Amino acid sequence: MAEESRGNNGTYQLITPPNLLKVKVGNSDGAPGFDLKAIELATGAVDNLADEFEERLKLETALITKLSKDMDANPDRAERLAKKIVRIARDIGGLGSTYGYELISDACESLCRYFELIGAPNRASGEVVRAHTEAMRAVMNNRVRGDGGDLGKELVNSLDGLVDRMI
Amino acid sequence: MAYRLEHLRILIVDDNAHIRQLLRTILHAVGIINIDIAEDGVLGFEAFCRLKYDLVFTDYQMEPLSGIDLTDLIRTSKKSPNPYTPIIMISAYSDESRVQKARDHGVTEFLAKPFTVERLLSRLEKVIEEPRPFVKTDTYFGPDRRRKQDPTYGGPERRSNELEMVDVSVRDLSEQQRAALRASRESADKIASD
Repeated sequence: MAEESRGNNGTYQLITPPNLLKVKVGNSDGAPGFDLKAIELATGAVDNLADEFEERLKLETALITKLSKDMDANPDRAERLAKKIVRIARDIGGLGSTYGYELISDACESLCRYFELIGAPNRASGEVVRAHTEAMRAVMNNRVRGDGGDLGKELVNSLDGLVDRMI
Repeated sequence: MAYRLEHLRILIVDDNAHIRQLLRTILHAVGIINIDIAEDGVLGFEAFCRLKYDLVFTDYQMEPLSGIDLTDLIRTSKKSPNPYTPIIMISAYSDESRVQKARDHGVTEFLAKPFTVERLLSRLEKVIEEPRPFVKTDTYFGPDRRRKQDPTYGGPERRSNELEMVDVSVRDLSEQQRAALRASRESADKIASD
């Protein structure tokens, strides 16, 4: 069903296609949504992947540390190395909270912010990068899930403060 | 289970193998069994044109074809078998300009990474229960970009305070955990003060 109307920027058509998705998934008792059992099953399935994530985290933080040292030693390659670091940080940061490691996501966000704000990658300090990977290692090795409470917040604030100071 | 999901066919387009695995795991756990995967936007559109999909999940940043480009193709290409297909874009980039860009290219819903199971399912539920009408103008074809004001909608923020089924905050840290976090904090503070 389509209707034509006139808005501030000219004519537009409003089209309401049939909601075939709802027809496919709707059930006879009319109750919408995912029930608790579905959420539990899905959460449990994600928990089963957590070991794999932890393994990956170990490797990726080690790689970021290595890249940061390469960056210090080879400023002419800083741009390429910085891009790699940011890509890895975005990847693992994009998964951290999903597996209950909120502090990992926060540390990665802080690291990405550092590179966004520093401007020229050859100005970036490997020491700042390693402060972030050290934090991630501490979280990971000690299995600090969630936001880490007050200490977790202090850690995130310290990393943010370090970035603010060093840009 | 409230929804009957076994008849849905979903396409996941993401160049990150872990995200593909995570999405597939969650969707499969809630009963969606027909899940196809594409590793980039080009393969994604090829797959989209071959079979009938009820929903597409796509990453934002991919090469050679981004999630935005894929969305454009689904919405406007003559080859697209169904331009009305709901598209949920998933991205670590959740700043307003990117979300707006995604909307302006016809994305139905946006989900910021990292996401929880609850947040993913709530986006899916939104697409099912509150489908957007489509708007066609000279310069745009896609879901209506307006939503009615919803004071409980937390947006794509990563650190939102929206109520979730699972409490992920840690109430009690062990001494070892506290010592580890303290040491990291002190290390960062030392670098900042040097």
